[in-house]
Order: sequence, then C-alpha cells, then structure tokens
Amino acid sequence: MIAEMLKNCFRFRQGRRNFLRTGAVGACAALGMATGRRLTSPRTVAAAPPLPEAPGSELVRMQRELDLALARPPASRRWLMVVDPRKCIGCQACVVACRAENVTGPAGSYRRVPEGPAGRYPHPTNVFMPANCMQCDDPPCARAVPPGMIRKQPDGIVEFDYTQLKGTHAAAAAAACPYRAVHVDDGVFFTDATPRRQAYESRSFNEYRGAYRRGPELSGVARKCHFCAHRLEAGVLPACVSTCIGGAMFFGDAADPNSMVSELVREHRSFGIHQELGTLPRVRYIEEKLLQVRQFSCATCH
Amino acid sequence: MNTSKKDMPTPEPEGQRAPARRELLKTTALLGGLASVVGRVRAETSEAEGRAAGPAEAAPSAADYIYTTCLQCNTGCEIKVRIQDGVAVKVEGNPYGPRAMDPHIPWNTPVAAAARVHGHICPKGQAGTQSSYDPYRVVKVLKRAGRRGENRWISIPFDQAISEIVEGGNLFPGESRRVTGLREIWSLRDPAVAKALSDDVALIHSRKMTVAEFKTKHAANLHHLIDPDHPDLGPKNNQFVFNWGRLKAGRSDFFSRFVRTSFGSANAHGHTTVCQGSIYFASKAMSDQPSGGSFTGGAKFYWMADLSHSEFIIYWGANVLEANYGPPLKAPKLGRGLASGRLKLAVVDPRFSPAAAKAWKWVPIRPGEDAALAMGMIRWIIENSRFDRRYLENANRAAATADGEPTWSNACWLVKIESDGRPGALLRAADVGLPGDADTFVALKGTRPVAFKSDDAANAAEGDLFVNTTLGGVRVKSSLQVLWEEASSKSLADWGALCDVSTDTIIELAREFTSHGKRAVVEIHRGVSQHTNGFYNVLATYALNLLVGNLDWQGGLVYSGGTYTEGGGSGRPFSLSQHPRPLTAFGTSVIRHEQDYEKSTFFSGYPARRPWYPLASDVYQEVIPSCGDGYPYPIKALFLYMGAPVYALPAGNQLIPILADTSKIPLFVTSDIVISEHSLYADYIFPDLTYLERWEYHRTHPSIVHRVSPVRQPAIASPNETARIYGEDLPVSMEAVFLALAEKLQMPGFGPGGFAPGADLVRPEDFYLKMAANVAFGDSSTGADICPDASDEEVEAFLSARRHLPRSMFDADKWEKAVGSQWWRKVIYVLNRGGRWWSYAEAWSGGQTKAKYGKLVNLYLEKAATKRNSMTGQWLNGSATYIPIADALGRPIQDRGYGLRLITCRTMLATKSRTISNYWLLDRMPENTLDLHPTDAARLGLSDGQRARVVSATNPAGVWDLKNGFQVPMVGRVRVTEGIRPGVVSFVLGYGHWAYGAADQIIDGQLVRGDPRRAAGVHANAAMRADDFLKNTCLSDVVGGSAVFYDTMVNLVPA
Repeated sequence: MIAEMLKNCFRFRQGRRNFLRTGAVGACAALGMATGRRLTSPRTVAAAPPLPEAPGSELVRMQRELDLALARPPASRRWLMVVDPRKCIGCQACVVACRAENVTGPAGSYRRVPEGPAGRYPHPTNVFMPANCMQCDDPPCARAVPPGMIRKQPDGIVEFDYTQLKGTHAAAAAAACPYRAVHVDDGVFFTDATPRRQAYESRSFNEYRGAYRRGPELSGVARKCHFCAHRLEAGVLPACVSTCIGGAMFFGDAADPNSMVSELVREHRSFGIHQELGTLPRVRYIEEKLLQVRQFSCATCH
Repeated sequence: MNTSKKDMPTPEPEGQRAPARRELLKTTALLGGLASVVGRVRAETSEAEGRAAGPAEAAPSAADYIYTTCLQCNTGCEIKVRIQDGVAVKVEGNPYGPRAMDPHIPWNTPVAAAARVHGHICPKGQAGTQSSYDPYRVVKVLKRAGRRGENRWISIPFDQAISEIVEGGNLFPGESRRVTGLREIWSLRDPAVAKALSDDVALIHSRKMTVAEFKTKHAANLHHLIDPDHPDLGPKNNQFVFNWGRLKAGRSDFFSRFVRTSFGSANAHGHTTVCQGSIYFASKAMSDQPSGGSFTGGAKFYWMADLSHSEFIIYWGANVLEANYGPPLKAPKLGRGLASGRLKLAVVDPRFSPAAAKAWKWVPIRPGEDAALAMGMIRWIIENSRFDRRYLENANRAAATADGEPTWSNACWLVKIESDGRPGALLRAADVGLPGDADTFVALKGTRPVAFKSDDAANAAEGDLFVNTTLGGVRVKSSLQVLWEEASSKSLADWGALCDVSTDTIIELAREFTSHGKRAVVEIHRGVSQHTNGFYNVLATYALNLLVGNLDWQGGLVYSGGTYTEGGGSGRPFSLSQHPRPLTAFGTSVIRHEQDYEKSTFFSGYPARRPWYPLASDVYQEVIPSCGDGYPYPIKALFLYMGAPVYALPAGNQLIPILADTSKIPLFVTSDIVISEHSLYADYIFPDLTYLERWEYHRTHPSIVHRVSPVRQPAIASPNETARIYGEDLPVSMEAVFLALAEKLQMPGFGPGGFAPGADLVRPEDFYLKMAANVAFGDSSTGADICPDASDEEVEAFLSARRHLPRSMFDADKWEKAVGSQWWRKVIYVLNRGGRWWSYAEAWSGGQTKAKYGKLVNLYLEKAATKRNSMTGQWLNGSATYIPIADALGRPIQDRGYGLRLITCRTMLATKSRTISNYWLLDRMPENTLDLHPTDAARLGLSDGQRARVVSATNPAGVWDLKNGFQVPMVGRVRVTEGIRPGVVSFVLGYGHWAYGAADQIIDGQLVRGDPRRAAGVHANAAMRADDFLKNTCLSDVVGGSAVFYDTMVNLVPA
C-alpha cells in the first residue's frame, strides 16, 4: 500500500519542474506529508527528530537555524556562506568532502583552497582561502549562455539546467566565471586507469532535484557548487561547512537577523572576492587578522 | 585514459546483499523507518523511470549510517559512513565523539537525532572509502610463484596456505630447502613447564642459579629451548616472530592471544620506535614509581596540552595541523583559541608548517639540537627564578595535596654522586642512617634531612631545590641541582649557537612560557624524539613543563582520559584474557627489549653485537635486521601485519636483502590489503579487512581529556574470499588466519571452549562484541554506569543499517549469542553510536582535568642512571642533558661532502605508506617535492621544478635496490621555498611508491598493470643513514629506541 501510494506520487511529480516554474507550489505541498518532499514542505524537517543540545557547538546552532529557515517560505530565505580565513588551515577536507558528496571527477572540483605564501625567511607568512561558486546575484555565467539555462533561485542558489548546459554553452559558462568555479565534466573516472572502475564513482547522487550518475549522462555538462542544496533541503549543512576541522566555515540565512552568518557579518569586517566586478557574491570572507601573527593584509590581494 | 569502451556500470555491490531486506520492510516501524524506506523506493523508481523525477532528500536516517572509527591515520576519529546500495559513499564526522565534534553531543542523544548532525573530519577521512575500494585489493590468498621479490603470484586456497604454513615441508618449486612449519616451532606446549623454565631463567639473570644448574634441573625439557647453553633465549616457540605496524586494541588482544598466550612466543612486536619511540619510553621512565627498591610500572604513554584552555603552547617538533593526534581533534580548539586571542603559539620546527603560519613566533631550529634550546630556556628560567617553587619543593603526595597540586616531582629528592662525579642512584634513608625501607627517600630542608615515601598521603615532605652537599659522608645533589648544572654548563649564547637560535629568542620563549602560570605548555612530538639523542631531547623539553608545574591543570600538560576498560576486569561482564591453558612466554626477544645486556648469558663485553634496550620495547628497526644477523638467535617464521617496514623505516632499503633471503627469514607471511613494498618479498600474502570492514578498539591519545572508547566495526562487505573455520564462514582476515592456524594445531584458547568450557571463540565477533559489552558497562566497577537498552526503534535502525552485509560478516543471532541476551541491547546502544565517551563538560573539574595523571613524575631517572649503554658500556645519564648526534657506538657522524640535512614530514593529504591509493587525495597533491631554501638552491645550481637525486654516505647511488633486478631512483622535483631553514631539505612522506599498485604484478599468470600515478614523487628514506657499526639498520637512539629520520646529511644532484 505504501509502495503504491509513493509510485503514484512519482508519476505526478514527473512534470514537477514545470510545476515550479508556473509556481504551482500548493499542489506539491498537498502531497508533501508522508513523502518528505523538498522546498515546498516545511514538514520534512519538522518531522525530523529534534537536534541535540550541544552548547558551544556552532554546527548544531547553524543546523537549528537551518531548520527555522526551512520552515519559512523559500522565497524569504537568503542563503549566505561566510568564511573565516583566520581559522582555515588549508587542509582540503572541504574539497575532498565535496568530491565525495557531489561525485565530481578529475576534470574539476566544486571547491578549491588556494594558499597565499608570502614574505621572506625567517618571517614567511601563509594564508588559505577556500573558494567555490559564489552564487552571485548577478552571475556572469548566466549572461554567457541563453536565458533559462542558468537560473538564480529566490533563496540565492544559482542553478544549472543539466539538460541544456552542455557543449559550447558549458564551455562558455566555465570561461565566464571570474572565480573559476565552473568546470565541464568529461566523463573520466579516477579509477579508469586501474584494473577496475569502482562503484562509488558511478553511484547515483542528487543535484537540482534530479538523480544523476557520472558518465555519458553528465559528460560535457557544466557543473559547479550549489551550496549542497540537496543537503539543505534535508536539514543538513553543506558538506564543506560540516567537515571543516578549523571551524572556518559558516552557513545560514542572512534574512534571519539572529542567524550566525548575520551575526558574523555584523560583528566583523568582511569582503566578497572580486567585489569590483559587481557579481554580488553570496560568500563573504572575514577580513580580520589573528593577533600577534604575521600575516598579509587582506587588502593586499582583495 | 580509455573511457569510451566503458558502459554505464550498474552499482557493483561489494558483497552479496543480505536477503533480509524485504522482511525488514515489512517489520519496519512506520515513522522511524519510513524515511529510509522512502529514500530507497525513490532510488529504485528513478532508476526505472529515468532521471527526470529526481528524489527529494529525506532527512538522514540512522538506518543509512554505520558509526565506526577512521584509520586513515592513527588519530582514530569517530566517523559515520553513509551506505547507499551497499556502497560506502560518504564519510562524516560522528558527532558523539570528541575527535569529530567540538563540543561533542551527549551520548544519550537518540540515534535518530544524531543521524543528521554531521561532525567534522579531515580530507583523509573523507577519502577513506578509497582505501577499501582500491582496485588493487588482494582478495585471495597469494603464494609466490617465483623468487622472493619477483612479484609473481598464484592464488591458492586458504586451507592449503594454512596447511603449508603449519606443516612446513618442501613448499616452493625450485627450492630444495625444507621449511619448518608452525607445528614444529610450537615446541613447548605445557604451561607448567613453561612457567618453571621462565622462573628459573629469572634466577639465572639475578645470579641465583647457574646455567649448569638450570640444565641439570630441566634436562627433560632442554630440547624445547633454542639453545640449552643460553636458556634465557627461551623456547623454540620464540622463533615465530609476529611484527605489526598499525594495530590497535581489541585486534591486538586477539593477536596477542594467539602469539603469546596460545603459541607461547615472546616475539610479538609493534612499531613504536618508528613513530615517537623515545617520547614513549622517556615518558615511561618519567612515570615509573618507586616499588620494592626500584622504579617500575611506568606507562608507555605521554602528555600533551589541554588545548581547549591553554594560553601559550610551544609546538616543538610537532606538526599539529597536518599530523600529530590529530588535526580534527586539535584544529577546532586551536582556531577558537587563536581567534579569541586567548591562545598564542610558538612553533619550533625547521619547516614553516601550517601551524607556524598561525604562530606568534616560528623558530626554525637546527634539527636535533632541541636539548640545546631547552637547556638555554631552563637556564634563563632558573636564573630568573621564574619556576614554580612551591610545586618543585613538594617531595610527596601529602605535600602536593596540601598545595592543591595533583602531581609532584622528584626535583628536591637527593641523588647520590659517584666518586667520578656522576649522579647515580637516589639517596635512601638507610644510606644516611635514617629509618625507612628501600622506597624511603631523602630531601634536605635547611640543614635537616627529611626522609619520606613518595606516595605518603599523610606526612607532607618538602625539600630545598638546589642542594649540593655531603650528607652523612655521602656526596649528594638534588635532582634540580643536577639539571641546573647541565643547563648552566653553557652560556645562553653557546646554547643558541648549537641550535642556531638567537639569545633574544631563547629569552622571549622562556619569558612567554613562564608568564601564563600553569596554562603554558611545551608540547613535543617526532621532531624532538626521532634523533639519536631523542630520549634526552624529550627529558629536556618535558623538564620545562615540570618547571612550571602544569601537569593535570586545565590549560596545562595533561594525560589522556583513558578508556572504558574494554578488555574486562573490575566488575566488567567479560574478561577477554580468560584462557583455558595459557602459556608463559619467556626469553630474550629478537629485539632484546626490556632486558639488561649485562644480565644476559650473552654478555661478552662492549659493544654488544647489536643494541640491547632495557628502557624500550617495540623497537621496529631491530626486528628484521636482528633476524638478518641471527642475533641473539635465528628465527624460523616472520608474520608481518599491516606494517610497512621497508617503506616506512629510515634506511628501509637495508631490510630488502634480509627479507629476500630465505636462510635469514625461512618463512615470511604478510597480512596485507594490497601487494605493498614489503609484501613483494612474502612467501604468502593473506588478504586482510580494511578498517571499514573490521573490528578494533582505537582507544585514545594524550590530549584527549575525555574518557573514550571509539569502536571500529564492519561498515561494508569485504571483497575478500570466504574461508570456513570451526564450521564458520568468515571473510579472510588476520583473525581468520589465526583461527585457522589454531584449528589446525588444535590450539587451546580458540575454537569451541576457546575462552572456557561453554564459552566459544569461533568467530571474531565472539571476541569483539564482548569488549563492546564491557564498554556498555561503563566507568563504575559497581555497575552504576551501565548503559540503557537500545529501544525498539534503535534496534530497528541497527539491523536496517546492516542489511547490506553478508551473513559471513553480520549475523544478528550469532552476534546476540556472543554477549547473551542480557547485554545484547546494550551492545546495540554502544554500536549505534560508534562507541562511548564522557560528556563534554565531564573532562574538567576544579580547574584541573578529571582524569589525572595524579602521581610522581620523575625529573631525575634513577632507573636510567643505573643502566649501561650496551654499545659503549657507559652508564646512562639520569637527567636531561645535552648529547650530540652520534652513531650506535656514540661516535660523531662525519659525512664530509654532504651539505644538506635531510628531514621529512607529513602532509595533511597522506599517511605513511597507505594513502597513495586515495585518488581524491592524489588529485590535491599528485606528487611530493624536495623542498629547499633559495640560498641552497642557488648554491647547488638547482631551480624550482628541476629534478634532483638524493644521495648520502650510505647510499651514494641514490637508489632503492629491490634485489629483484629493479632499482628505484630517489629522484624528485625541487621546490624552492622561503618556508624552510637553510641547510635543510625536506620531503613529504607518502609518495614515490614502487608497489602498492604502482608496479605491474603477475597473478595467476595474468598481468595486472600498475598505476603510474602511484609512483609519482620521491621516497627518500633509502638515503637516510645506515649505522656504520650495525650496517643493516638505520641510525637509532640506543637509549629510547627511536628510529632516526632527521640526522642524515645528503646532497641533491641534478638528475
């Protein structure tokens, strides 16, 4: 009986992308109850067990705030990512976590952590600057391709349409991004040059409300970070945020004045990378230095 | 790369799916289980209908994860692994554990709630699935088809391999030799005889029995001995040697049960000295307590900073943000402390590490001169009276308690000075006519000697700190006086010249260190210990902590919070040491550990043929070379488990000719997951389970102040073939090998009645689940902490999460039977969380840690001062002291013509030998480099990116000679950097493989092509110096045991 109910739900949802474009949100909501659907139903997260008490844990606090944000209409959310480079240690955990979560291949990664060594012995310095798609409010990638292929969502996430963003359009989107956040999947797997391709490389994963696998389906398609939207809808923080061992990553709803991200940008000077290009990035970097530590001023590069 | 031929693969389940899934769907509770049902039905439907209608994300369910413990490095972070269609697809930090969450969540958090809280984990942890899903996994038992090292193999049935190893014989085509099997090596099997022989060997050592008397008394059993004229070598059983690399509790208990208790071999050795060796053994000596007239009982463990509260830390030879124990534990606390301004760091390291980038001061010290810097700081601190006088004047427990101090030192205890001026043993009351036993010591207060016992809780004793006098005719000095004389033997400028640190910096460090009360810590690691003078570097740097009296204080130097007594005892439900017929293993081991050369029947003056290690054990670099020299005796069989001595040891190349030599190692068996650099020379390779497929109890590390028992449990099906042992089907593993050998040999301690009549040990879970029950029992020996039973919902989640595991790895009925119905739901409670931990706030109370070290810490080591160096005959020094770099005979090393000091380091992206298979990590760093300061590069005419060969005095050709016709040159790319001390060249360890999937292999006549990505980079360990006297071994610290990584001079030659 349960299986039948769910099967019917699926057939109905096949046209869901159209639904969303026409704003027929209520129809989806009607089916929301027992199926844990995304976006339109606040009840997925409300039905989840309460978060544990962990005083002093930024991660649990951000997850609580995420629950509150998901309980509000999507159009009222303004996702913001905040990075504290003072705490980044350049370990690349976020990069590898993102790879595992979003199944990217050798052709590119959604996230990078470049370092900025400077200075002369015996007083060198170094700083680590994690970067991914900035979910720009005015994304250059969208301007480089025909309308509709790249869509800015109300909550801030810039979405790619995998059915269209291929070939020359994919290349154009990648070339247009000043943050080098977009890559074109080439269908190559890490274990191709070994005796046996491994199952985890071709596993099914969720992006933009679709299930995908790497291989012919995504070959030639442009891909980039989407703030782990699939995790957000499940009430879970983006992979780079939860895995950060330095505690340098923060995420939440800037429309909520009490959220951690709102607090951080209120209490600290911060900047967006390449602000001068007018991309209006949704990722901000705290512009402060550690006390008594030799560091370059952020203004030097930014 | 060739992708066009590959079709879209369907997911390959790594093992058969358990058939119970459909049944499970029927019984799953509607609400708790529905989310997971939804997720799975969705996936199936979208496969059927195509991608257009994608599944929405359900909140993570406990049934989608298995909670276990990482092993991508030795930190052992708590993780949870998401399973999708039987495949481990994502690793997250386990929020229940302090290594993966800061602060961690309460242990009693329902698993359904914890399921969507993901903690943090480092990149290696995130890539860990690739260690299991390695295309080069060995999944069948391999036997060499050619000579050792040829890398030609045939797969043979597991039972045949067991049979051959047990019975021996003419096992290798083309070789006429007869291999002695384990049945014959297992000579002495009678526990009563073993105990009697062992007791009398002890009498020989204490000169209460002669060898002749022994031979007469035990004439009927002399044939069991390796050499009746040297009974202290022990029985022939000792000629079976078991050596391990990365092995943790639980598994170590299982293996020891076979090797020591059932087989009766004294040769079960770990790898400690390749890691921090001398830190462990110096700390063990510092933690020895007086008993029966001597100092004993020290713990093989050490101390680190309470990072959550420290105000100033000197990370000394400690790469805390890339290595150490470990970044996920320490980085969040460092970040908090640095960002808030509470914490200030100094980093002492020839290399500008990521920690140095966050430090107030980077001190690029000359490698190996750590004691010099420490002595300079000690001198300034004492001269300026900036030590904690009140702490140091306490002589015993009562005095410490009166001052609110949890520990006390022997700083004011009087040391007897020998006629040659050397500090020797500690003064006893009886030496100066005062009443007291052999454990009654003396301090001086003004003119009055004070006799006391260290652990006396009632009578406080204090003493003056700087005593240099004659008492009752005996020349004496206080321990602190001895240290002061060492520190003041040179000026600050002279100390600074040795370590190449300016006087100003020495003073700045010392001033800052003594400006934070007890919230300042000197925390050390391999950079301090892995030198020939490592033991004394450790004593000197740790002495700084004693000067400020910071032990057991919040923000100070702390001891680990310990674990939940997994092995049993003190009221726990199961005692894992229960054994129907335990043998007493005895006799000098092949590494001559914890024995005095002078007491041995082998004593014949100095130098000994090879070093004896009275203060150390697990001397990794001694195992194979000692077998090579047949000293103190030849061996018959070597089993090597998860250890890569050829790759990991300095001068590991010296081991290759020994491993390749069937007369030195007649039978060589490895347990490995791929054909590694050492397994190339094996006779048999048994596949093992990776950490995602097996059991283990990872325990803890010095800076983890919480009590912890993280559990490692099977998360994925193993690809290994299955064997049937004691009627049970198991994937082939090291446990399966020992169980099968025990079965074949009908060995007590395993099989039906393996624990006791009615208590069987036929499956690994029979052992490991009992340990989980002990963890469920909790802290209190009265049972006040026994954990609750798992609820029905939690049981459902537990079973559902394991539905993909084959019956050979998960059988709920058998698991329940292993612990009994009374404990089953409690075990589930523990396993659902991946272990057990104190709550976050529980670790501290009253400004101190709750789990204290809480006793005497030795500033002066009587035990060391009463032992001789087996190579020089000199007495060892009992105090921290400056000793220059030297070889095994104490000679300075003069490698003229070699101008660069070679060091090595970890990167965050690799661990020792085993992460080269992780392509997600290789993607971030495809190769390592030879890092060089610009002035050195200019001097040598090397430019950035240029390839250069590393050569040294003991490896002038700069190659790994594999003794199989192949040589691997030590050639790497130069990287010119401002972040390294001039005169030093550094390389990241973990690259430059020539096995582990890097090389072509022939298995069953089929060529398996290697992956050249794994060969990228350079592995310069073969340039590390071999000792001129020992020849087949690296430089070593002959006191503390450390294998030396940082004391070799090399050249870089354009390649």
